[in-house]
Amino acid sequence: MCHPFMTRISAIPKVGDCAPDIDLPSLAGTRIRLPSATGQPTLLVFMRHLA
Amino acid sequence: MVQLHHALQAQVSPLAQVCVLSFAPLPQYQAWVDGALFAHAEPSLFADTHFLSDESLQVYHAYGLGRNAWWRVYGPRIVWHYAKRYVQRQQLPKVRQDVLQRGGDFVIGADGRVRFAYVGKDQADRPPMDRLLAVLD
Repeated sequence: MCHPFMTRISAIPKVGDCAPDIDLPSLAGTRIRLPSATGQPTLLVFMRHLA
Repeated sequence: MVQLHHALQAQVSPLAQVCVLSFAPLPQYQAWVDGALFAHAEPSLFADTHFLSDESLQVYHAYGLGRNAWWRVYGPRIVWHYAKRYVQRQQLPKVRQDVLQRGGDFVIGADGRVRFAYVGKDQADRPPMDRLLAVLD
C-alpha cells in the first residue's frame, strides 16, 4: 500500500507509482478523498476546458 | 466529450469507481453537467460518478498535467472538428476556461498505485476504450 505522504510528485505518474492524493469537493456537496479504501480501482478523468 | 462520458459510464462503472475532474468552478461545472452532459445522456447512468472540482489545479498539477502548446491544442483534428461544425452551421462553443490546460486519464488500483496513465497529445486525444477496459479486467 502506498504511503499518503510519498505522493508529492509533479511529473506524470508512471504505471506502478504511488497515486497522488486527492481531496476535492464534489458536485454532490461532499469531499472525496482518494486513493480510498473501497477495494475497487478508480478511473480518474481529467477534463480539459468545458465546452 | 459527452459521448465519451456516456461510453465510460456504460462500460467502466461496473468495474471501477469513476471520478470526473474539472478545473471549472463548482457552479460552472454544475451547469455543464446539468446542461451539456445530461442533455445527451441519462442522468441515472451517472448516479455513482463523482464530479470533482479542482479549481486551484492542485490535483491536475500533482498528476503532471500542465498546459499544452497552442499548436497541439489547435492541431489538425481540432481544426477539422471546428470546420465541420462551421459548415454544418452549428454554434461554436464559447470557452471561458484555459484552453491550453491538459487533460488525462488515469486508473488507480485498489492498492493506491497507478495502473494506467494516458495524457492526450491534443484536445481530442483520449485513450481507446479497449485499453481502459483491459486494465480494469
